[in-house]
Amino acid sequence: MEGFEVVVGIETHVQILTRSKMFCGCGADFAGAEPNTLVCPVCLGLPGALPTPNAAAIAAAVTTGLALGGEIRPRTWFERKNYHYPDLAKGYQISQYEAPLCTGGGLEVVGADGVRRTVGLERLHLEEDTAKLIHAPSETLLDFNRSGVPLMEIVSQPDMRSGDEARAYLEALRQLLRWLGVSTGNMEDGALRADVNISVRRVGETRLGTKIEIKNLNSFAAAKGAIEHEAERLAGMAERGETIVQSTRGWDERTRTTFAQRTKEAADDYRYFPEPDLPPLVLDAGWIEARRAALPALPAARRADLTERWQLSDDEARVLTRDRATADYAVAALVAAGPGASRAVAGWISGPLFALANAEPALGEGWTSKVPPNALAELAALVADGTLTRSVARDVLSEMWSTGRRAAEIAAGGARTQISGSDALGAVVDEVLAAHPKPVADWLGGKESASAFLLGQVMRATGGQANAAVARDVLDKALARRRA
Amino acid sequence: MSGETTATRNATAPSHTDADPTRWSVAETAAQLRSGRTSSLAVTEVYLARIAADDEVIGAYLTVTADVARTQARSADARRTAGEDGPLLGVPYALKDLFTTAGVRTTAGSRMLAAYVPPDDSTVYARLSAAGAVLLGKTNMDEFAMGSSTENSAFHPTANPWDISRVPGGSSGGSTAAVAAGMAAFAIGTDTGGSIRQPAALCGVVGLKPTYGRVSRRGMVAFASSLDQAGPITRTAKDAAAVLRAVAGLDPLDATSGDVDVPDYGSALNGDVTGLRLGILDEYFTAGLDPEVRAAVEAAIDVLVAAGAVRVRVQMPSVRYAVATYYLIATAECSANLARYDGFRYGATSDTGGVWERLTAARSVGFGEEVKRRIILGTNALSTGYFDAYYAQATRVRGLIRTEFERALDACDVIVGPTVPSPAFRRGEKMDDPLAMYLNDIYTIALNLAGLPGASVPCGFVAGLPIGLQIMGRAFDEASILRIADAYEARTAWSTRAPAVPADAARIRPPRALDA
Repeated sequence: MEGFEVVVGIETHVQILTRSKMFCGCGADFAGAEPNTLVCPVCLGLPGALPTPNAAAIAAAVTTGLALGGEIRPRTWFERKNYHYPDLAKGYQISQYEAPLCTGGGLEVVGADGVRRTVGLERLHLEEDTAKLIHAPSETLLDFNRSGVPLMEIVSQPDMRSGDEARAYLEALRQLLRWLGVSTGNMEDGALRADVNISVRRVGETRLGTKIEIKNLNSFAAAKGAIEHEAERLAGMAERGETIVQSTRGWDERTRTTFAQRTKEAADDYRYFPEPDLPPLVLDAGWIEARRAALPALPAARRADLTERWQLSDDEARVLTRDRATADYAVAALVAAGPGASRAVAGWISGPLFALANAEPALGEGWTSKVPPNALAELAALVADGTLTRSVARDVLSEMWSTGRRAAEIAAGGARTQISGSDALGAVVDEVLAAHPKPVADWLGGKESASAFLLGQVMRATGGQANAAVARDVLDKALARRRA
Repeated sequence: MSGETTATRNATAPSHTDADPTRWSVAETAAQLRSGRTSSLAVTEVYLARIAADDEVIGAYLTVTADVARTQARSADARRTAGEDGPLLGVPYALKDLFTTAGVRTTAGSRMLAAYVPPDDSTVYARLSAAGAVLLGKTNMDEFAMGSSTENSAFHPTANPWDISRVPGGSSGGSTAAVAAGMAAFAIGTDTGGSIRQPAALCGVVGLKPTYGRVSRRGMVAFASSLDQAGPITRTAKDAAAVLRAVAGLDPLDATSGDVDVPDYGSALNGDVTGLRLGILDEYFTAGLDPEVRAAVEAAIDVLVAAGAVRVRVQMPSVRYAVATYYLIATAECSANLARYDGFRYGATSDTGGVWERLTAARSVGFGEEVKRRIILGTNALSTGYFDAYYAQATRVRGLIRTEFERALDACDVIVGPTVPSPAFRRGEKMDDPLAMYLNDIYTIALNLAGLPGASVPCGFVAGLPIGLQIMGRAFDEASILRIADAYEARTAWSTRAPAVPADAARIRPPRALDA
């Protein structure tokens, strides 16, 4: 790869989360359905069937386009993309070609290196999904439940320069789709599917190299792995002076290599033409603006708010905006706790609270109601004013999570208040020093770290309720007395 | 009136007596049922008997739905007994075999769909059923409505009832022959480039192609989606109005159907054409027009002028490109519309070989020559490198034609002229010359490109064969067309003539047990 750079563009197909399909009334939630039960003459392509567009799918695509900063075309139309395949009921896919619903825009991506950049977008258009081929050992079966499910195709500019960046782009896209509620974005279910276009060129070259397409990457890791492998392969070929032929390749997850699928000698001829069964799609300017106004604050804006207004680090901001529910929760907790407590609140959310939520994945976004934001702010305040130690507070939080009770109530009821009186701690420290003569001798012999062990023993003896700062002070003084 | 002087070889005198229900118009049938002198079931039985007697010679039907007809007739009689009334309640009719009918096979005249039984009803069939009309059967047609003679049916041809050696026109030839031969009180056809008007002219009946979007296309097997339109085939203009009113109107399940109120045409059919401006199109009275047809059409216009209408000369220079334009747009659309017939889910199938072998085998066996020809033409017109010169150019010309129609119809209320350049030709005469066949639609095709309504009404006979006067109007103004057609009928006697089917004629198709 030395001396070469890889150029990556990504086409994604996104299943839009709607109740019904793109052009008929059949249910679109095919995940658990028996094969071929969500079908009708329209999505089976029976003679005489006519499509009628799904307004909810159009609205979701417009929302997504606006959120991506693209320009919505007020007058567009559907086209037929003609090709034969058994999973394509009508022998054509209703799609958009000449006039996509949305053009331009971009997606801010934070790479693994923490550097932000914007990946430009070429277009976003609406189309319908195909049926599913199920390959059995001796035959191939067709399930038309997926036929006609609404899709958005989102095509990026060739703006990515590494597998990591491509991965970050896909993660940011999935985050946005979920944020808007327009798709589950689950790559493993095929709700988000990626085709990658990749080429290499010598550093400093401005023309694009010959493009290789890698189809049907169904995880972030696959996208990253396929790009990295293919970049190496192409750079090696270029190095050796071999000719790269435009072609389509697949990714073998097992061997972690790409393999040849077919060579594109001539561009596919899909014979697009305007879909005569559907009138042009004319969107009212006021309707588009209403959708723009209804957009929620988006991840990039929320991150900026957390770093600028709440003085959190980029990392903290990224973690707290992992999804819309978390971001809403975090801001509510930050507001409740007030300025000055933001780092602590951020820590409580991304540490103990996420751990509790991760332990109960079935809750999903419901975790945010287990400990209301103001209850978390109260807990943080009790730690800040010294009423609870951090370690006691962790236990209190667990109890808040499981019982729904408030921190002050739990602390008062269970003798969990911090022991910060130096007299009380003095007695405990004396007991600990008497019980552990060896570490005491080590410390006296110059091994400073032995005091950490002894402090730990003090905390343990008090059930974690000792104020750590006071305990250290008392311990240091007691040890100093022994030296003297 | 040149037609008047020509011998009408097998035409009988007007035979509309109470005695023969198969000669009653829709309005007369409804009146008879209303009077209680007969029942829908009795009338239906007479039609079924007529079909049994004559259809082996005419070949109008692909499927006779005797059981469905009797059930619907009994139901109509019950509704009438319960106090209901309606212009189509209990009236027997025929449906072109490209409207889906749940449980009754729908072939579109193709081997591909020879055994295809659809799961649901087309909107047109559903509306007729709701109106209480009685389905006698599904009529023959050129395969996927591609043709002008009904000879492209994969099953058998249809004879013109006026001369059984001749074609009835097409593609709705089964529907027009059924109405002409007294085998249905009315029929439904479809018109993509003239497929209602041309066979109506050649069979001596009234055929109306409504405005594109006036009648739902849902459940109509598609040929060319931007051109296809269903409409009535009847014996009188009044009947056409009644049938149109029953089937027309917005259908939320057809995104191209128009949200335009359907008027009660009855009040429009008042016989008054005073001051109505008849546009006479220079381009429709040129060298290709048979002189006798020309004379008959001019005589028909004279009748209307005598009744108070006014002649206005109009020009539409682009209509001479209409046939070429049509054969690019219609074939392009059909190449996509017929792609669904791949043999994997329904229709002709092959169970040997891989995906491509099966697909190729199903389409090779399932489609006839004309269908294949049009799929190839359309595929070519849409292909990279040809798209701009063919499909895109045709779309631009279509825009010009539409504009010229609009301009012409500013200067007049309707445009009148011939429906066909010559009367019915003999079976087999044009089968080896597709271009000659295509030119039979020279006067009807432009209207489809413009999406406007038009009708053909009988206006005389040439060599004993009927021909038609075409009346073309503004978008959604079928009322003006019907008013003129009705006024013309009232002043002439063409539409009261009926052909007599010779009893000793050879069968056009094998005998058949009445099915469905």
